[in-house]
Amino acid sequence: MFRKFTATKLFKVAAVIAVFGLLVFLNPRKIFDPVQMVLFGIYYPFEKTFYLLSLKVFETKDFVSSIGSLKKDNKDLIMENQKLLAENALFRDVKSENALLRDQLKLTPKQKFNLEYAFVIGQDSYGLSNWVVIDKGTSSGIKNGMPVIVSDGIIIGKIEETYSKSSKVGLLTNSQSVINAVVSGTETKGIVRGEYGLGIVFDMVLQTEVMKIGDEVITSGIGGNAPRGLLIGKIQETRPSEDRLFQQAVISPSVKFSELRLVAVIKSY
Amino acid sequence: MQNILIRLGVIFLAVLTQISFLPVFFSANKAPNIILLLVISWVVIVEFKNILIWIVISGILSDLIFFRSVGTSVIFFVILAYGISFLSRRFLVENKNWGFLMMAFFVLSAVIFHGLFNIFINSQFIENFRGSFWTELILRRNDIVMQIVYSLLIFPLCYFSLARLEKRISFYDKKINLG
Repeated sequence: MFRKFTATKLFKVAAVIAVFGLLVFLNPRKIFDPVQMVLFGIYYPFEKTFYLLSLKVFETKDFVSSIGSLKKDNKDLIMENQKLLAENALFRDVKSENALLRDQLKLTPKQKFNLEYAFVIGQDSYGLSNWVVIDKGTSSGIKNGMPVIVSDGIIIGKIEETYSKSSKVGLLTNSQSVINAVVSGTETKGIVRGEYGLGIVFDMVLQTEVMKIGDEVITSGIGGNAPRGLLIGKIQETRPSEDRLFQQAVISPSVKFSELRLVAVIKSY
Repeated sequence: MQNILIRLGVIFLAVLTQISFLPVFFSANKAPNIILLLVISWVVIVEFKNILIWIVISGILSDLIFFRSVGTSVIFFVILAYGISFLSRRFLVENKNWGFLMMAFFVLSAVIFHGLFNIFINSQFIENFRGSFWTELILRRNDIVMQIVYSLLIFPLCYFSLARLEKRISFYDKKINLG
């Protein structure tokens, strides 16, 4: 009778749930880390190829659907280009004046980062843990905890796990992400953390501090996990914290995390 | 041996599509779950006892590639497969005309329960039950609806492709047994 029972579907299902339930409860990451490393090593070339292929298909689809608006977009872009050229000329002038003043006042030069550029080759499609996979790993000198940026100064997250040729980047919207930050200009201090994997919140700000909608929030450099001055986003809304002891601000990120393609890892600063 | 390689290849391709192909076309929270659709299709096409091991392998691979605790997806997929196997053997055999609606019901229920399951195991839930689970569910309700729509659109492609493949596998199996 026992043999009959063990041959049933229900017994097999119960056995699988018991075994894997125990695994989830104990969560022995160390046992599966070598397996994961081998798996990522096998997946890496396919992931890269598939991602680039899907980008090509997406861009072709995008191009075909935007043919109608190309003429107008072209005209707008020409005008914007001219405006930017003029601004650039002004900034070049300001830059040389800045360098001259720094030299005269014997100030240290602005920080230059040691960057490793990488392409995004995979994303969290469930949207809960909010991470991306990039095509650089320990073989390129990437280590856990290194901050990841785009466009020369906008932070998007930090390296959470590394493999030989790829790494996992935990985004700022990840609910486990915490970074020290300040409001640019007013030096209002707080911490930026991910909320429900959907947004970013500037939390633990004293009630006496003033925050305005549109203020820029940057990394403070405190704690050493990221250099100072990396842009996180702009304040969209302020509210009291749940315990009413502090105030919070909802931050609108400066980049769309779902459209990340090329990122840079700060190896040293 | 050939059957094992083919099925492993299918699982490999499904996970690859999920991590590297779908996120480009769908925003993160709205992408359909190809691996889930694969499990549903497999359970309907092949007998449960023959496909259980492959469902377990799909779950393990999915957990490893998506950086989750190994076993999380396995538990969900196995419970889902058992439920679908139980219902499909009773209702699909007796009411062949309602087959399409039954499949749509399986996909709809699977996507909803998978969405709830994911929110449940999210780390926020463990830290703070009172606010986190329900708040996240309310925030993600539109995403779950869009996932259902996309899954229902993609499921027929997944199901018929897999049915053809399994037919070929069973044909080769018969050929080997007769030979």
